[in-house]
Amino acid sequence: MCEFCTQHGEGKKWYLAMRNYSRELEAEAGRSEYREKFMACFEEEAAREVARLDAIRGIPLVFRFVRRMAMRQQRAEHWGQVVPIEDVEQIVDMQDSIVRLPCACRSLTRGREARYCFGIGIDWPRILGKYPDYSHSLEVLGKEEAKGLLRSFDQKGLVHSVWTFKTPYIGGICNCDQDCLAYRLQVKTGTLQLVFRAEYVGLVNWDLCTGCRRCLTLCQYGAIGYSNALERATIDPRRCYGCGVCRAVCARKAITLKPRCEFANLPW
Amino acid sequence: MKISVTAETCGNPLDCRLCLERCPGQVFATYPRRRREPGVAAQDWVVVAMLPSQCTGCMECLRFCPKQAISVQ
Repeated sequence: MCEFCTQHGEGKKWYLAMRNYSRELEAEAGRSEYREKFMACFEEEAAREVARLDAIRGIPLVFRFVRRMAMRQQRAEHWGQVVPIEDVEQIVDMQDSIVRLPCACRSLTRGREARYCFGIGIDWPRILGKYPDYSHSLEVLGKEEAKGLLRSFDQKGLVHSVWTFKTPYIGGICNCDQDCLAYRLQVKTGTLQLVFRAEYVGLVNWDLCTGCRRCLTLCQYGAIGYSNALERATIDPRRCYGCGVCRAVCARKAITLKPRCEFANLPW
Repeated sequence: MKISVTAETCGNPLDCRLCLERCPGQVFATYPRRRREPGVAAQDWVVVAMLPSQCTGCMECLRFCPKQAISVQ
């Protein structure tokens, strides 16, 4: 289990503990104001902070110190975890209110309105209704509708993740590819960690894999390799984030997810 | 690499977005200089080099920016 499961999971995976979605938690600790400010000026603040970090990369001692401080703050305020589709569906079943919103990262990195994010909790429509950039596209989703959309995102290779708004309150589900700022900072550039890997790791069933290599096209983490000699795909457990998206294109259902905690020495 | 984008020359990046879409190193990002407020939409978007450490010096941006607003040193 990840460190949040131990701290906030009440014996379960932390994102399956009802407490972390509760209205009491949502109403506390200025979470409403935090989310409002987050959505009002995400692009500007993110661009400034990231440029500041990027500028000191060449000074290792300073960079390491600033990076550690930034990660400590992120952990307390806005941290994510990759979650495979089955667990996201369970999360959706636990919610009273789901709204679809435009992705803040894709606005920052691509300058486009792309509605891939889900806000969870009753406060979102009230917060975002005031902002014309969001109010025109806010869409309240039913549970089945939300699950259908999530499955269609899964088919397209988008990785699901949950995000806290002042940890441990979970206020959003993201569906990301390489336009995600967390991906660019954590996976692409190694600037800092912002998400935990999933509670799972992908495994290829040797007997079922035909070596078609379709799974290779979907992995965002460079975790899937292919051996011409063996005519099989392989998953490197050290690189795998456990998102399970590769399963969507496997005609033989040769990839399964195994609990990460059953492996020794794998990072979260 | 020192990369700068001249906002006046660039104009409204959301009308073009070529740098955001085509930079192979994904160096650029955009944000509104006038923040969103209740009842007010974001305005005056500008492009910045957010991750200049990812610049490989391919100089493609100088070629595809239609306004020559980007400089790389």
